[in-house]
Amino acid sequence: MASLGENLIADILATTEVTDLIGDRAQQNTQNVTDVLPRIWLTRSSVTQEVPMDATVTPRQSFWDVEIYSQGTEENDSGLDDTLTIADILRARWQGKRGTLGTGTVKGMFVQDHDDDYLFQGTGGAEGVHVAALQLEVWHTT
Amino acid sequence: MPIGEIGLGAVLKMSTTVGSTATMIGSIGIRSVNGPDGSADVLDITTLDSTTGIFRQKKKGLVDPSQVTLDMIYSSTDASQISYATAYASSGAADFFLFLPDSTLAPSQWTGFVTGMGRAVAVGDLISRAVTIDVTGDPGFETT
Repeated sequence: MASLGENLIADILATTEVTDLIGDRAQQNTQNVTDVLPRIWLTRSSVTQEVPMDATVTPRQSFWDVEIYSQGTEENDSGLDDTLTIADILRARWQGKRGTLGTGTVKGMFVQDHDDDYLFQGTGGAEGVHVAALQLEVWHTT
Repeated sequence: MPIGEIGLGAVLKMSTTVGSTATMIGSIGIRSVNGPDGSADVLDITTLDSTTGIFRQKKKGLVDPSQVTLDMIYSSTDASQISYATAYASSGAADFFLFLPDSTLAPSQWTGFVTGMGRAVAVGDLISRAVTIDVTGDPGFETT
């Protein structure tokens, strides 16, 4: 059975509107050093789970940081558009999602925060790295 | 020796046949059991010839066993939670037994009526259920 992280990646890569931009460059916790931009890195930041008196298993609430990176070139700053495009696609896809995710199911997904940032390279061109960071809340039982 | 227990492992059971444990059913999904938290009436028996100076004289009156409230994680299919809804729709009394974790004592036992049922549905949280039990008679605190 796939983990929630694997299912998130499967969902990220499920449509061509995203894979046309990032290929298969979405990983949890690690990132291939040879990967070019744009790419997506995600990690689980915390998990909580209520425990009633009888210790009946309840749904888990996990929080994920999903970061989307892209980079412009000296001549073309389209990298910024790639980051924003992917972030907007994922936010719209995940906000209020319930049901199938990859090969699993989720009870609910909420994008709790979305920050955009730009890491200036100081080269005078447009080579800065553009970052969109989503904080994702997922309710799930597996 | 340290004292103190946490609520994990406590069990609340209900029997809708008062005086019998044959139909006793345990509850699942309880976050907390609050009460009974009753209080006694206090009667002022100060008179003109009281000899207590400026201090009033008092006497303990009747004790209201008050209520027990349950905060539960909602289940639409669990038999124990359905039994609370059934008891709420009924005018009959039920017996309740609270077994504390790691206790060798007999459970706290009281008789009561399910007089309140609540449900909270929030978009980003577990659905919860609240139950109010009005206690009649001895609220069943351990005295031995």
